[in-house]
Amino acid sequence: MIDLDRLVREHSPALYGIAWRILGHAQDAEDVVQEVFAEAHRQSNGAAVVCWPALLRRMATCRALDALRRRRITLPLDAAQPALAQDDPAAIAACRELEARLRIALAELAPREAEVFCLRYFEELSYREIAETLGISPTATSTALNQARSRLEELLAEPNP
Amino acid sequence: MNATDFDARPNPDELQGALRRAVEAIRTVPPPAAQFDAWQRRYGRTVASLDPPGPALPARRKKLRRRLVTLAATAAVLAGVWFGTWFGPLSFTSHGPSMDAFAATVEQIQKAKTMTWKSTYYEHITSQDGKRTWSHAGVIENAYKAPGLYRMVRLDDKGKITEVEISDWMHGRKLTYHPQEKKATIEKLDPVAHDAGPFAYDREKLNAPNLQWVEKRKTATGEVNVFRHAFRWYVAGERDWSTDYWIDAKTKQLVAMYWPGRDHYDPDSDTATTNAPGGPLSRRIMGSGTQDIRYDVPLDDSLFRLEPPAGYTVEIKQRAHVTEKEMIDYFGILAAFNDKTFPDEANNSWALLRKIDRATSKPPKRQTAAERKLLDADMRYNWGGATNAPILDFFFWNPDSIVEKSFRYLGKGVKLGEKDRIVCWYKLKGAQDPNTYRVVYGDLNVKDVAPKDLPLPVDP
Repeated sequence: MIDLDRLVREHSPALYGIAWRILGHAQDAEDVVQEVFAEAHRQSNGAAVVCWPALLRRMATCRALDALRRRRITLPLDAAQPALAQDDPAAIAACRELEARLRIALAELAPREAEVFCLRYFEELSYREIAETLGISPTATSTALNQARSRLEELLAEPNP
Repeated sequence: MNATDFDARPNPDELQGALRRAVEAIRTVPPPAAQFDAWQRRYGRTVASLDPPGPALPARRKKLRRRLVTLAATAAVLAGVWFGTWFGPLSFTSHGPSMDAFAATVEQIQKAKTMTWKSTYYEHITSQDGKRTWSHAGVIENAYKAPGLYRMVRLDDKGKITEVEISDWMHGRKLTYHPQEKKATIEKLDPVAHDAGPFAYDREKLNAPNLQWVEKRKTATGEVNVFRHAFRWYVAGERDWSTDYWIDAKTKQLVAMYWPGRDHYDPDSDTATTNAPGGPLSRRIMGSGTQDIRYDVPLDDSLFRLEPPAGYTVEIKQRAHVTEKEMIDYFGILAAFNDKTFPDEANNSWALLRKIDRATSKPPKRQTAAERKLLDADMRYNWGGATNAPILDFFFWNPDSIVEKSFRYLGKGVKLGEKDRIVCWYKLKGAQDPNTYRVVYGDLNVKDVAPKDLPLPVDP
């Protein structure tokens, strides 16, 4: 039997961080965390879970990406290539736009590619950790990541909608 | 790729150009401080519902339950087929209407240049002894003009205006005035880069897969289809909460919303509205209705003018920004947390953010004093939702304090306490000597320095 209180207490902040980086919206991230714990509990009903952190991390990434795809954001952008000059409020605003564009682009990737990309660059996991988290081989991870990068570069290079 | 590479952490050089900047931008802004105690209370119902299941049902009951489920599923499919035919363009999946079904509804909200709607806030109260009920409602009339202009007019129960609030989110200004007292307030808002438009939260819920069709209703202007989104986390007695969305059968426009849905509270059939209020209460249902939603209504610009009416007393509220001392103290806290070294960037680096994430994830008892101090400071200054809000606020969000483009950060690698090494410099607006720079050193001392004495050239 799982100690749900302990799981929630120990893993909520990390899962919230994962969901927040993908969604950029606090309340949506909280919703994802809730979904993850409900789903984790259902999946684990009667079965032993070998690695809770990996399972929860995978679920948080997948559910957050699901939410991102449902969102269907439309974002008008004027500045296609803003600089990351952090001492300029205009540049900070441009960064926010760039964040939003990446989130829109992530929603257009194949699910596996998006999951691999988020775990690699938002959570900074190694190929092996990503492979363990998603239950795929490190080579498949590498392939998916290359495809994700190429596709995202294309999408971000496209003119603004 | 060899086996060792599989264990490597990402290298920033793996990404290029806009993609690299976008990832850095996302990594640079940490999550807003989450209130997990409040979160657990809010989701208490769900957490409780996840308790281990009860004993297995006897075989006969299982069989009966299977039959009932099959019967219900058949009825649902037949109803779906009938409803799908009758509702026209809506398509249905096994989960109800497909997401495409509401695309036209959402699009009409997003494309509207102007909108108006009426919000009604209800309270249905039961007395302490449970024998009496009474209810009352407040009304707000709303108007929206793209981009980012909102007007709210609050009315009392006699329809008299008690408050008007006009917000310009693109320019970060808000005017509030009270006609009865003839007082007005002007305050700053944190401007937004893009106008999300009205009902952003509900637009997303219209795409939720668990949205269920409930009924068709006649209204004063035609017919609506009512769809319900069930919430799992708000508790109303023994049942969960819900929101009803009323969508015009012909135009597919969202014309009303009710929170909670009519399965919990129906203001139209509430007979307690005429009961006299009073006494201690035992239970209260609070809800709101958004009705009479209209699209592309002609609205005069004067409705959104941020000018108080003539003859009003005007108060200008300034948001409390951090002081220079608070900013410097925070730099010290951040450096103490970061192994007594100032961070690589004024805006948090990936490495620092990971460290902060790790500290946040620890149980409080396992946090070090430096970690606790930083997390406490972040809680105290969390209005910006950023981990290093005091630094961002002082240098980037408060154009009244710093001379534009005068800030320079040189703190990378500087140890806390190094009195000869510079962490940053900037020019203060309104300083006694407008030519000197304020220079912060590693020991957190601040000195006024002439541009010629700075180690790097600066713009005149």
